[in-house]
Amino acid sequence: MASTLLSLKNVTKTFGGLRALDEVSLEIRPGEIASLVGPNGSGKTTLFNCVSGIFNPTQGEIRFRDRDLLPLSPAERCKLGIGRTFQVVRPFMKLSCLENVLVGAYFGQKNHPSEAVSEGRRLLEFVGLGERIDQPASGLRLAERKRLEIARALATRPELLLLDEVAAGLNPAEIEAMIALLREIHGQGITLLVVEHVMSLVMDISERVIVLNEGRKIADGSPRDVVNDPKVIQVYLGEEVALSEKVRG
Amino acid sequence: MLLQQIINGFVIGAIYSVVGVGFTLIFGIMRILNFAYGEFYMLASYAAFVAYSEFHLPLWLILLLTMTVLFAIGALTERGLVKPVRERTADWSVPVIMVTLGLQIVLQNVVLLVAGGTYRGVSAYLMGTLDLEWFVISYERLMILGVSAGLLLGTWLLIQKTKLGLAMLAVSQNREGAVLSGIPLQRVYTLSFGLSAALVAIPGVLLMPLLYVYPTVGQVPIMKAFAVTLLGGMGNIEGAILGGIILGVSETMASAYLSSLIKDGVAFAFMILILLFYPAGIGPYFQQIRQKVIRP
Amino acid sequence: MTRLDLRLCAVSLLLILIFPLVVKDDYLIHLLILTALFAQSAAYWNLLDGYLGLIHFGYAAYIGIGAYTSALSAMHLGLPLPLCMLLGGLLSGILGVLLIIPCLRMVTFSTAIVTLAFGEIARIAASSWTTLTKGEMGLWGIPPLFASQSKLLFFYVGFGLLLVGSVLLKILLRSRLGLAVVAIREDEIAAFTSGIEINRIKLLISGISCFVAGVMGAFYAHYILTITPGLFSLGYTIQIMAMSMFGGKGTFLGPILGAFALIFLGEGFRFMEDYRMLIYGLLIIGVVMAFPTGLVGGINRLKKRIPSKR
Repeated sequence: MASTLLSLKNVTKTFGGLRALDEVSLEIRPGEIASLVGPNGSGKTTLFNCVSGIFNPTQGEIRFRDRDLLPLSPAERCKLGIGRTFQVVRPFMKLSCLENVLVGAYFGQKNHPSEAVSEGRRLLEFVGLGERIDQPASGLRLAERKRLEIARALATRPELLLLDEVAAGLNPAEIEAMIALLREIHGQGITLLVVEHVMSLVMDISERVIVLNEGRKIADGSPRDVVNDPKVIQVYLGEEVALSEKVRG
Repeated sequence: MLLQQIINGFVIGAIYSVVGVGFTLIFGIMRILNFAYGEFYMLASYAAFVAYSEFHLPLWLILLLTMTVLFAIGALTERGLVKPVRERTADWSVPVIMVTLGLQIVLQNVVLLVAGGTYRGVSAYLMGTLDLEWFVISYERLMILGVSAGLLLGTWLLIQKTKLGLAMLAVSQNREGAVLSGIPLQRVYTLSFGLSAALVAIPGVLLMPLLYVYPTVGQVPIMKAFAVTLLGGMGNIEGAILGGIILGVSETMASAYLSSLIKDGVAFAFMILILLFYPAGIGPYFQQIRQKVIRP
Repeated sequence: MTRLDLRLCAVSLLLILIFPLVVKDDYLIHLLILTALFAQSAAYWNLLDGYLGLIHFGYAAYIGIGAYTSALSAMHLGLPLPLCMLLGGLLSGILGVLLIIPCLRMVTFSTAIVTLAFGEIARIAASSWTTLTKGEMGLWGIPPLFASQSKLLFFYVGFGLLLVGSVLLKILLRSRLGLAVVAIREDEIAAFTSGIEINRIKLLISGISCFVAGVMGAFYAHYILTITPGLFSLGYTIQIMAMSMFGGKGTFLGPILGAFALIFLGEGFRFMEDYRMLIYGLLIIGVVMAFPTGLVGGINRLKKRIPSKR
């Protein structure tokens, strides 16, 4: 098994005059839980978009299990084992929860799925939406929609799951539940790369934290190291107290 | 010769712009296609015909009166026809489009019953031509160009500089946000509909000598409105202004240098070409350029 | 399918079978044949726009292409008619796919104009290419599908096509492809990153939808026996759109119901002579106000009030 699951080498993405990503290099190892943090506009979602294939970087390489991702469409990358959720939730509103998950099951897996419906039901139960199986996604609350997106992504049998701000907009109880869910998913052997602003979640589950600022990677290490890194503290200024409190406590 | 064609193209282009702006306005604000739009034009043409040949009113008065009357008709349409449908279902875009289709049929046939189907018309509002060294332009055409340009400028100023214009922009960009900011949505809808009708009334008056007056005359402007709207970017006013000019000039060129039979086809082919390079319409592209120029 | 639906289907089928044998009104039969044609076109336009979300303002052009292709193949190549009709469908389907290729990277509404422009260009082409199409004078002398004067066979074939088309459509919508189609409409990006090859599916559905339009156009040609470039016009596309929207865009029965409703509403008031179209327009307004989500939506609401006896 390769020691690197996902690798980015000198990835740069420009939009007109704007450098959203600037020579970013990083490696994600199989089985990790890594967090991608940084102030707004630092390029986190752009990075996700490059990896999942919504657009390609202007320069640089992205490899998944040592396979070049750039020529592949988002659908092909999904089948390869990359799943993702979105910062602003994107469920299929008029479809039922089960149908949402079935999309992932039917189209996102490498091989043709068998028993997709029962697998779909199982996944919905797993994320806690067992009661909502036949309800349309439009009838769900935000926290439920986030879990539906996760279930849909899980239905594609990903090796790497890109989670974009899954905790945004959730209350503390929901965040706790989300943390537990993520741990369970990780427990099944899925590698997680999590973009987050909610620091409690980041510090709680991450084995590794990668910090972006203005498109550049400024830190990459264990949560403790990153939190004490002067460059990171500079960028987060006001959060310094909150971070060091958490680390000490 | 080339300059002459370009001038002619600008004249017709200015009209297309006005027609397009009125249509794209409603699309941007309400996200609907107003199929009765052409009929507003038709009503204005009839009004102009009656005002001119029966009452011999001066042109400026005709313009003023028709604009006001059509504004009222537009506003009434919104309140009486569109509003009830809007309030009945959350996803009202499609039903409202259907209602405008019904209205189109009703208006055409009411006029047909009342006025008969014969083509009516007058020769021209103004006589005489301006004969310059490089090109010739009839006073009529000059007047059309002038009035249209003034109207476009006025609309542009309305959008950019007034509170109403700001409200309209807000609603077209983010309806929920606009409501949350306290913008009276209903009033914006009604006023926009009225403004849209008032806008298309002007070409209705000005082109009356050229296109004549008959119940289905509205079919021509709505096709152009469609094309200009889509070319300039749906809901994009400045795009519509530009798009109208481009359509007018390219049509005139095609008519002059190729064949007047296929001029419509050429205009369309040209539009497809532009869209291949500027998929969101040309409006956003030029706005981007303008941003860069203002803030390099 | 509920028991009620099944019974309704059986009844409709029976009606279709015995209708022309019982009712001898030629004009009514003719009207029904046209309705079947429009209904199928509306249904497959609905597949493209209502289900997939791909706005198409040039759909009538494919009906026209199918009509002319089939007519010309029959008249100049002497091929058997079913083959001509197939050719008509195929050419329409291929052109449908080709047109969508540049649209794939465009914004939704830009697709609207490209398709609109294509429709117009096709119409102008048909009108000007007089050596081939005889232009505005129309192409006449098209060999009919059936030699006999009776409209009976045309009725059965027309409704047979509608039936087969509807069954196939239902199967498609129920399949995984159908799920992908609706997913794309709901959220393209999410669909793409969930493994759906959105571009391939858009092309596929365009091809299917335009193929059917072409076949129906061909049928029309060999029924009416004279066709003009007016067949390509935006007016027909709008009528088809209206039928779909009126009956319920994005529903299965909507376009079919809408087609019947609009055509018969229009005809029903023929006795009113000059007032007919006016009443038609007023009726559209009235029905839309009463059933804003289309006839299907209205029927669903009514159904909810009827207790189902199962």
